[in-house]
Amino acid sequence: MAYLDGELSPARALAVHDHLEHCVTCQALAAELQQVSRDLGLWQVEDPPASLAAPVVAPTPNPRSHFAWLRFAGSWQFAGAAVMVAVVAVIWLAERPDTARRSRGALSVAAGADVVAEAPSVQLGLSADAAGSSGKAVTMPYARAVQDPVRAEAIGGTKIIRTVRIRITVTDFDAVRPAVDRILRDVSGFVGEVQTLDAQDAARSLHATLRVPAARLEEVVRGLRALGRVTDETQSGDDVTERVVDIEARLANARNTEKRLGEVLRNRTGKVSDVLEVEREIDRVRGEIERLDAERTNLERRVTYATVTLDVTAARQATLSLEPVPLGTRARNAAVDGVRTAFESASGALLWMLRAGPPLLLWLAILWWPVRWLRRMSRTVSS
Amino acid sequence: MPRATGTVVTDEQLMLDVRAGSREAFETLFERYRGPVWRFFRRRVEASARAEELAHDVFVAILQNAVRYEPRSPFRSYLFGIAYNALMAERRTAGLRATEALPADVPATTPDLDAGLWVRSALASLEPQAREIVMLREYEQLSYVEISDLLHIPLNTVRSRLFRARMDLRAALSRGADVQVKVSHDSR
Repeated sequence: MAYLDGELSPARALAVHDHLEHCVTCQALAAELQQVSRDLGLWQVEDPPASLAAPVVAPTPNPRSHFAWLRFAGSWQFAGAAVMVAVVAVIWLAERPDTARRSRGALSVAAGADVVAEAPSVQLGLSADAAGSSGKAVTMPYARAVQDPVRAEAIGGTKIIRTVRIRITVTDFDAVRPAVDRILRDVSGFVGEVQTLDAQDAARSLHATLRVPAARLEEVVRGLRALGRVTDETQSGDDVTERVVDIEARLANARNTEKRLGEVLRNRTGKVSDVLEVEREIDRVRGEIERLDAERTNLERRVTYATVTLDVTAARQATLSLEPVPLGTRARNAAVDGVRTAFESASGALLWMLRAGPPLLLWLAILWWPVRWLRRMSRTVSS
Repeated sequence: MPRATGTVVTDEQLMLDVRAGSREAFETLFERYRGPVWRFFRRRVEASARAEELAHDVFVAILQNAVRYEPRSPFRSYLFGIAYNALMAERRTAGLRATEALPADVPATTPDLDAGLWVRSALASLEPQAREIVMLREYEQLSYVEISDLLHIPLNTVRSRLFRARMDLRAALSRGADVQVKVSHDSR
């Protein structure tokens, strides 16, 4: 009742007051509601703990200062505006006729580029330094997000996971493995996985996953191109800057929480259940920290080491097998084939009889009497 | 800013002093509202340690955002607005884990000899928003307008739901009182 809560205007409160003096029902209701408030007051909680002290933190800078624009620069509105401007710029660039040429120039220094606007897939003719590959179309899709330089700076620059897939046909297959090993040794890379296929009736081939320092990726790709004729090449860059920034932030939060929980555990003398609850929370937070740390390490490793998937196929097909098969072996094979054919034909005939016999008998039984009657009729007519 | 001894400085003026960088003003505000903010969380959060952390976080938020404070509304509304948002964030992130002030396993019709539990049981029988309105009014002493602003619901909705909630509480508390009297008689 607003009157009891003092929420009425003086005039209305006076009117309600006058009414209450004469109305027994409303008096009883008001008394009951006041009793409800008194009952609710029985739920008292303990005094605040002594450990709840005034926090000591520095206030954030005054937004009305000369640096107020920095706050806007870190806001969502700014990020949204920046993305929209970038999208418009990309569309405008993509519609220009000389986009492909200029994109090619950008891609040639891709290994050293930090922040590149998102570019569409472009078809490039390989340059003359790609030995034996002139005239082959190579698809090089580069999908990169527009970066917020401030956030990227916080984690030491843009983080891009680079991957390259390259298919090569070579004439001297035996020289491939030593050449790949030499390239890896020069750039301090390593082989993640390698598989060779040397079947009799197929071309020899090698499939390898190489991990090389991202900074020397172009050097490795140039060396691999020189091994033979490039039939397919795909390069891609996955921008994980935002993910790394998020992981760093979540790690910092989790570590702060762990620290505060540790302080609570040290300073608190509460119930055992409370202590156990805090310890469970600490375990959970530590697990989260370890998971985030592992995720960050994995991302960093993938950023530091680019992945090159290499497929090498020998140009020359497998040679014909000229070894003669002995006559005895051929006779034995022929005899076995003859017996197998005889058995299969006999069993096939038996199966046919089993399958076709019942319906044949049925039709014979059905047609027997009409045929017999026709034959008798024909005899009668002729006699 | 030095003031004459004996004068009562309003919360809003203290907050303006905090905005200007006065640590003393902040500590005065902290002493005034340390208890209310603690009780706000203690009645709504199951774990005492977590309630203390949330109360701490509220004062940290006030200090860090003091530069943006404008005395457009009473400081109490501002303070409990931050506290309520912190509570909602806690419930969202923790998925109601250990933060439900009035656990559902406390039957509303089974009063305990402890009066606090009896009242909690009655409050637990209300639907969440009505319970929040009653608690903000009865324990935090917020006005109807302040509750309306805090919960983002119309003023008349606050009036009607508060009245209905009190009527429900009247019934729940009287049922509880009857059972309580019976229990105490049986125990003799």
